[in-house]
Amino acid sequence: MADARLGAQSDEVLGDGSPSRQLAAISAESLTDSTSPSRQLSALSAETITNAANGSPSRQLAALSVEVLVPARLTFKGWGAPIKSPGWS
Amino acid sequence: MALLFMDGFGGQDSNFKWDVGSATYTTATATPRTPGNYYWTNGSGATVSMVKNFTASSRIFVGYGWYTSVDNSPVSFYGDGGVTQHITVVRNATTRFLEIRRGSAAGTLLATGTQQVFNNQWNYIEISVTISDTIGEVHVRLNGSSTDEVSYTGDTKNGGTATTLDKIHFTFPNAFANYFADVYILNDTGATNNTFLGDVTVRTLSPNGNGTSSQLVGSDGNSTDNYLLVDEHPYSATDYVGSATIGQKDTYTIANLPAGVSTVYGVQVSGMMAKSDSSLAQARYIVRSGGTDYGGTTRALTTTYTGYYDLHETDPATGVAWTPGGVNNMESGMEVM
Repeated sequence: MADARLGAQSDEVLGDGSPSRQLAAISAESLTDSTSPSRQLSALSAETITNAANGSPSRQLAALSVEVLVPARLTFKGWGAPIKSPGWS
Repeated sequence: MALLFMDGFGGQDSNFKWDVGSATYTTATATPRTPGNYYWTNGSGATVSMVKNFTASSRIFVGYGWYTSVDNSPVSFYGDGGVTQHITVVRNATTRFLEIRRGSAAGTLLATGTQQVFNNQWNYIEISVTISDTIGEVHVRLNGSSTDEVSYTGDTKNGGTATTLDKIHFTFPNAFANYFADVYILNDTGATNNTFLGDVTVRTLSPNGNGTSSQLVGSDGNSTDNYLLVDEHPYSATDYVGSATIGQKDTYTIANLPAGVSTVYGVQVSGMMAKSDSSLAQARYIVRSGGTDYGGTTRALTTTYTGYYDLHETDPATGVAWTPGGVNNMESGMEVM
């Protein structure tokens, strides 16, 4: 069995190896819930939207008319027999 | 529907029927076009307009009685939602002939009539208009004639997009006396009332007696002779009938047409309704014909008296045109909804 030997070993590193980690300043911030603030009330009023107090209001009719479209009746104020208008008996 | 609108001005509620009323609006009877009828007047000193919007229609017919002391009172036809002024018919101030113009009263002259329209007398003018860049038509008839006084075929489209009409605008631009009566507006749809009607009049008939139903309570605290509380024109806000109970109604007999009428083109129920307090409150007019009550359009009322109108081209009891007898036997009123 061959005798395996290591005659030499070297490690080559390109550059300056492991750079220095530098810390210039440090602070800690935390995101948390706030403290519970005071609830303040300076004024209060209540408005309500409801149906009318009397429930169903009265429906009121103040005027009524019926218009009818019919042929105009001509009037003849001169001499001779009256003119009979179309649409009139 | 062919008949779109009518106003005889006898109900004295025209500020609700027209889309632009006027503080100077008033009615009169001193110089009636037909015996006993009302008419609208600008009061001889006011500059006013009457505007009516209607369902967009490809062909419109309008008829109206007109009496002027000196004015020329153009009537204009609009489309595109009342924006585009397509056609105006106006009397020439010098010749007194009727003119058809594209656009406004100062627009391009398209045609001129041959008969003078004189001052200080009633004339009945009928106009039909269709809109097209090439085959539009305008026909103007005078005093019931079955032939055109003036007409034009060609470009009636004064820009815009639609080839329909949806607004008519009567202008009384100067401080002279102008009277206006017996207005109808119709289009060419439907089987009847789809062309010139000729010289017509709008008769306003008022309640004149108790009808079949007397369930509403009057402002006088009872349900006796309620018709006396709704027969005045213009209306009185302190003189009314009403109820909050759904289904209750009043109907009244209506005055008869003058003897001799043989043709009825349409019937329109008009009135003034309101509710006594807030909360939804609806009501509708009733037409009673042939022993049956027929409800009109249900309206959600406001606390201010408002004019509403229902147009009936046919007798609901027969489904065909009203007869004078049908009108004379009808009842009308209000039902709580």
